[in-house]
Amino acid sequence: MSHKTARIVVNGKAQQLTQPSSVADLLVALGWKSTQVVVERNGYVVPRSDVGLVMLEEGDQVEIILPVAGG
Amino acid sequence: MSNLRIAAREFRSRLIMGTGKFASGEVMAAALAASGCELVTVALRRADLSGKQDRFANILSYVDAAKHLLLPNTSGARTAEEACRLARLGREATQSSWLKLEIHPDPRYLLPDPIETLKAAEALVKEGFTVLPYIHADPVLAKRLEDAGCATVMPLGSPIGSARGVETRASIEIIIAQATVPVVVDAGLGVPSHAAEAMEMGADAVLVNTAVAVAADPVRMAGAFKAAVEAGRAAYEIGLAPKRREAQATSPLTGFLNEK
Repeated sequence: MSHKTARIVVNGKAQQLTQPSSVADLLVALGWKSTQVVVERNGYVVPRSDVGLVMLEEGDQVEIILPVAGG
Repeated sequence: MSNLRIAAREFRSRLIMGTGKFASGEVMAAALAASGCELVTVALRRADLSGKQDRFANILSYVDAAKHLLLPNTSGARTAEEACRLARLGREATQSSWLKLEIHPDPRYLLPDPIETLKAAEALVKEGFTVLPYIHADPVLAKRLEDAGCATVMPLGSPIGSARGVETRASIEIIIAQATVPVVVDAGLGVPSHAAEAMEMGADAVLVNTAVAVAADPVRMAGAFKAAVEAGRAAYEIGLAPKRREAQATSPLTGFLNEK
C-alpha cells in the first residue's frame, strides 16, 4: 500500500503517515477533536460528517483551521 | 428604535461586535453581553500543531449561540481565491453562511482590495453566502457590491484599529444616500461619539472591536458604545436640527431691561 509511506503537507509542514489514515485519524494523532476544527484537503472542505471516511493520500495538502478571536 | 434588517433577518441591536484583542474569553463574553450585540465576528486561523496551543481555548465556547449570530471573517486573505476558501471553511466551522468578506493584503493600513473583494463577493453570493463586505468608502464599489447581491456594504470610517473616527464622512454620506442594502460603518471607530456620529448620519449599524476590547474596562465601554449607537440612531430617526450660519435665539427677544 502506498499509504504506508504517504507524505502529506499539513498546515504548510511536511508530515509522514506511517499507516493508512483518514482525516479523523490525523486529527486524533495531532490532538485535535473534529468538533473543534475544520479541515481542507487539496483546496476542498472536508465536511465534519466525512472526516472518518476521507482517506489521506500521497501528496495531499491539508489545512487544519479553527475559529479564533477576530474583528 | 426600529429594527435592523439584514437579508430578511431582524436585529434589535445596531451594534456589531468583533471578538479580537480581549484579555480573556470571560471578559469578552461579559463585554458582548453588555453591548447587547446580536452579530459577532470571528476569524479563522491554522490550528497549532506544535502541541503548545491550549486545546480547550475555543472562542466559540465564549459566544452564546442563542443570542449571537456568528459572522466568520476572511481576514488574512490576500486574494479572492483565498477569501473563498476561508469562507467555505468558516461556514463549516460555524455552521453560519453569514460572512464578513475582507481582503486586505497590506498589513500597515489594512485597506481592503476593491477588485479582489468584488470578485470574491460575486462568487460567494452565487454559492449561497450572505456576504457583508468590508470596503473603502467608495460609493461606486458599494453599488457594484449591492448589484452583486451583497447583504450589506461595510465602508470603513478610518483604518482598522486606528481610533480616528469617521474620516470618510463625505463618501459615506453618498453611500448611505444611494444604498438599498444596510450600510454598516466598520473600522476606526475609537470612541462612542464616533459611533453616534455614524448613526446620526444614517448608517444602519456600526461594527466595533478594538475600542471596546482594549479599553481599561471593556464591559463598561461596551455599554457606552451601546448607548451611543442607540442615541445616534434615535436622533437620526427623529430628524436632526438644520445647521444655520447665524444664531437663532432660544430665549424671547422682547422684554429686556434696557427696552425703552
